[in-house]
Amino acid sequence: MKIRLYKCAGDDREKTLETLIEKQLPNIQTDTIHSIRQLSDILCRPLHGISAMVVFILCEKDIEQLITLTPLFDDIRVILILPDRTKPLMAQGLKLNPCFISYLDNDFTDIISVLNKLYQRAHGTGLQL
Amino acid sequence: MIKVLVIDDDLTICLFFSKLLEQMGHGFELANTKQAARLLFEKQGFDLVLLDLELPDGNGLDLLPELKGTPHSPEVIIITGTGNVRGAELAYKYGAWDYIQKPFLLSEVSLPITRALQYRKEKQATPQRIPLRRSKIVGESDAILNCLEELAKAASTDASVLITGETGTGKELFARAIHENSKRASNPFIAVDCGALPETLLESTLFGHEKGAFTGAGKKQDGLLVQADGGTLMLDEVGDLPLAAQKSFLRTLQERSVRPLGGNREIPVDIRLVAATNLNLDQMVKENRFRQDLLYRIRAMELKLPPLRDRQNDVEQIAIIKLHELANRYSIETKAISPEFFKILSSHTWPGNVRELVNVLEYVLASAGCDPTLFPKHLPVEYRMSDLAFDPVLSETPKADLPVGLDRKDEFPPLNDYRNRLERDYLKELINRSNGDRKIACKISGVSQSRLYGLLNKHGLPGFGP
Repeated sequence: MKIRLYKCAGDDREKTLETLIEKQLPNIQTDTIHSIRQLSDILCRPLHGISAMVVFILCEKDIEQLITLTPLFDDIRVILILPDRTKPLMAQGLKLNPCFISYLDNDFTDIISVLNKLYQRAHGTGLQL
Repeated sequence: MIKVLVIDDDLTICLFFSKLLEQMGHGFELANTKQAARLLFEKQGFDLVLLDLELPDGNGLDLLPELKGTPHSPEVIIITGTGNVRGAELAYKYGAWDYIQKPFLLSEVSLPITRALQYRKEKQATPQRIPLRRSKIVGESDAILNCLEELAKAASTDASVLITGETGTGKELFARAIHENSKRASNPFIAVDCGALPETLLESTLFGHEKGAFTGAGKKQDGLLVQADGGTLMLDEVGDLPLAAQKSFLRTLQERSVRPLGGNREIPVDIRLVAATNLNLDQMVKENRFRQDLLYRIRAMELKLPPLRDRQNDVEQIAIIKLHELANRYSIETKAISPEFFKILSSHTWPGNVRELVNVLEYVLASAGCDPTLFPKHLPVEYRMSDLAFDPVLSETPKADLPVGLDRKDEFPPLNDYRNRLERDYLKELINRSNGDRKIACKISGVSQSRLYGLLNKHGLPGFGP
């Protein structure tokens, strides 16, 4: 199973998550994308093989940019990490049709358990956390 | 004037209906064979057809789909002297208004005639529906057109809808289309995949939580039910909803309010629910894995999506549209498609349905590279193999290893004949093994009840008891 971490500039929380995934879900490959252009290029390749994408959002503008790419998200599980819990931001985030929403001030254990569940579904077995 | 067609070869019955319809003030025509009936309804439309099943040139039930398929689509009342449960079930499935067994009393036929005509009059008086936005639903087969008709009905109400169908049949697409064609279209559509979230997170995701409700709940958070207020909530894989969450969800539907985890406050919500599953929820109810009261709530309407193998006519159209979309996405030239390529696609059974087809097309585009036309060689090997109508190593296969029903001495049968023979033998054995119990037969065979009846009908085999 291959997942991409997409983060907009200005924060390095994705490194914390990457380390957690490496440690707790060693069968999942990750790599990080830093620009929307790069993300679009990857999703526009046939057979890109990405099952899930963890998207770090820092502001509403990031979501607006990503919404333009939603037609490319077919069959990709999107996990969204929002900077705050305001209703308008969450409403915007839901336009990306995420399978789960978390927040930057969480410790990512929720995301690890969601990724483990997705892995379990894809491979018929879970990992011991 | 109301026009009624009586199709019956019994002169007494024809005379009876002639007098009755005359008294009721309706015009009528008589036909004593299927052929005569066809000639009549090709020339003119009827509002109601009284159809006998035992006709000199075959079973009248065969006419029912034809009649319902005409532009006039009359109401049909079956009149039969040889009724049985399976016949009645098939008649209702094909859209018959009523099923009346001979001998009958005057009131037993006059009331259904009046009611059928009343229904037809009211239906015709109903204002024209707004054209349906199909979203991304592709196909013109009868199976998909029937689903679109059901979709339109679902969109015009606010009732909960349960969408069932195999994986990859487009349950979320239909859920979105229901929302987009409903009065809630300008409000949010939120899909929650119950199978993608761990049990511990599912409830807080749906209902939200108060600060300190559980370890890690450092801040108060709204759930998706609140976010979906005014719009549509789709619960995908609803069969995966844990029992505890089922109870809370039922409460939400009954009370039309949400209580976040760890809280006492009630937040009023106005949502329309569309649930989807590929599991047999009735069976899960029997096994106490799904609440019956919740199933009643979520299945006010049911939309059964057909597998792609039951709408093979749509494969070509789906392939053309999807290839075009994928070519656009990958910024490559749209490719020409050879008839041989389509032939292989159309002969495959697509157990993974449309999703499998799209995945194959994606593979095909990658494997074709710059080739301007798609040929079978661009398909994955296993798909090309499935088109082979012969066993290339048959001549070296010992007799004992020949497939059932094949003998080297006999003339080698065409694939369709062989397949039909096996299917018929299988169904006969299935009836034996299930002791005539249709539910057991469906469970053993893994096919739906309607498909099973369709197969029995195709092979002229007797059905099951009630």
